[in-house]
Amino acid sequence: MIVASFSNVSKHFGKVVALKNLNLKVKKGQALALLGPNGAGKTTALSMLQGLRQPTSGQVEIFGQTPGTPSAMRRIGVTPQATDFPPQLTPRELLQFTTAHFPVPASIDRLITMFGLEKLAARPVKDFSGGERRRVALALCFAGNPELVILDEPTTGLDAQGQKDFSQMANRFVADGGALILTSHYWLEIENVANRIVMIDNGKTVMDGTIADIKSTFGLNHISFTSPDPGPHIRNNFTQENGIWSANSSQSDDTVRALVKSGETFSDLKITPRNLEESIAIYRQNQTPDIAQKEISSSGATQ
Amino acid sequence: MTALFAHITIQLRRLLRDPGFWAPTILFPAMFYSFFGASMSPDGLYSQFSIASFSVYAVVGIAFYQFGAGIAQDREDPFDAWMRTLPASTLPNALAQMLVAMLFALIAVMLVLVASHLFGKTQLDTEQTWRLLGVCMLIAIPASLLGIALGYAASAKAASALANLIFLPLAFLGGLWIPPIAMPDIIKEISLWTPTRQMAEMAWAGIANTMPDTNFMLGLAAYTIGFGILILLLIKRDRQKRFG
Repeated sequence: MIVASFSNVSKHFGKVVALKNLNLKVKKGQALALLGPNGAGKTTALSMLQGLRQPTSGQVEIFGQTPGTPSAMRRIGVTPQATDFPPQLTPRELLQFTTAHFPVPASIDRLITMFGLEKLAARPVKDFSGGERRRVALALCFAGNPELVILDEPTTGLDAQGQKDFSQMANRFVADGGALILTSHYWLEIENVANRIVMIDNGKTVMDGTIADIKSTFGLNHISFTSPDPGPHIRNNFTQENGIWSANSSQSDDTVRALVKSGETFSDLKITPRNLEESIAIYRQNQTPDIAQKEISSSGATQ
Repeated sequence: MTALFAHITIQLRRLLRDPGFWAPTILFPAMFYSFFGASMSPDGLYSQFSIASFSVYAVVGIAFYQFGAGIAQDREDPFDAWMRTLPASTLPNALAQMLVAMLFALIAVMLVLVASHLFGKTQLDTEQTWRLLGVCMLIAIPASLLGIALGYAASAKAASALANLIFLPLAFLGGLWIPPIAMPDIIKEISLWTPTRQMAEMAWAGIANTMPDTNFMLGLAAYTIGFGILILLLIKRDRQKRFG
C-alpha cells in the first residue's frame, strides 16, 4: 500500500529550483531516510507532504489524497524541527490539545510513559532542556495514532538513551505496519531506524536503496596494504598516500584475489568495513552521472 | 474535547499565565476613564456617553493589542506552523482567537462599567448596560477584523508600534477620549470618516436608545467589508511569504 507519493514534482521559488521532477513512493512498513546536503530540497519535499507548500508542477499525495485535507492529515503525525512550544504550557496540556484534533487518538498517559515524560508532564515547557523538548515533540507526533510519521531531525538534542529509545520505538512502529519518513544528521540513527535511503541533490533523487545496497555500491570495504615494489596492477588499481596503497571496493574478495594473482609483492593487508556516512561521503566525492542516476532495484526500493 | 474547545482552552491558558501581555490592555481603558472620562465629562447623558466611548476604546484596544499583536507573533512562531499540520486546525484556531478576544473585550468593558460606578458622575441603568454590551460585541467584529489585518500586515516586532501609530490617532479622531463637539472643525470633519467614530456612534445610540445615523451604519458596514477583503489579501501574501 502506497502511503505517500511524489509524481514528477517540481517546485520553483522564483528562479531557484528546489525540486526537479521528483518521483518517490513510500509504502506501508517502510522507514525512509531522506538525505541530502543543505538546500537539496528535503525540507521542501517534507513541507509538501504536510500540505504547507504546493508543487509548481506534478502531484503529491498522502493515502491517495491531497496533503493538507483534514482526512489526509488525520492519518499522519509530524514532528517539527524547531521545538519552540508555548512556554506556559505543560506536555500534558500540549498532548490534550493535539489529541483533540484526531478521531481515535493515542492515550495521553501511554504517550507520557512511552516518551519518558512522567516527571515532566505537569511542568511548563519553558524550563525544559533541548532533549526534553524533543521528547515532547516526538510524543505530539504520535498523539493521533498516525499511519505515517514525518520526522524532521527527530533526535537532535536527545541523549544517547533517548536516541536508543527512539530507535526502538520507531522500529516497533514500522514493524506494526506504520510508515516513517525522517531526515537526520545522525548516521547511527539512520542505520538503526531506516530500511530505505533516498538521497536528494539539486532537487532530484540521486540515490534510492537499502543501507546494504548503498554500502555495497559505494564502497563496503576499504582495502589497504604496503608494497616495497609496486607493479602495474597496484599502480593502476590502488592509490598511494604516505606509503600506504588503498582502494574502496564493494567486492573486496575479488579485489584481493586479483592482487594475489598479479604476483606483485605486498604486506600489512587490511580490510576495513565502511559505515554509511563514509559510503555516502565516497559517493559524493566520486559521483558520476551513470552512478548518480542509478536507482537501485533491490528490496529497499521495491518493498 | 472538540478542536474549537481545545484551541480556546490553550489560548486562555497561554494568556492567563502571561498576565503581563493582557493586563495592561484590559485595565488601561478603565484607568483612563477613571482619570479623565469620569471627572471631565458633564453630568447626565454626556457622562453616560463617556462610559460608552471608553467601552469602545476598550474593545478596539483589545482587538489591536491582544488580537493583532498576537497574530503577528503567532505568524513567526514555529508552533503556529506546526499547528497547521494538525487536521482542520485553521478555522478553530481563528474562531478561538476571535472568541477569546471578545471575552477579554467584554471583561475590559465590564471594568469600565465598574469604574463608572466607583468614580462616574452618572451610571448606566440595566437596560443601557445590556444595550452597551450588545453594541460592544457587535463592534468587536469590525474591530477584530482590523486587528487581524494589523496582525498580518506587521512583523511581531513592529506590531505593537504600528498598533500605537494607528490606534491612538483613531481613538482621538473617533471621539473616544473627547466628544466630537469639543473638537476643532477640521478634526470634526475627519472624525466622521473614521471607523472608531462610527463604532462610537453605535454605542452612543445604544445609550440614548435611538437608532444610529444610517450614514454611520453604512460606513461601518463598508469598513467591515473593506477590512475583510484586506485580510484575505494579507493572508494570501503571508502564505506566499511563509510557505511559497
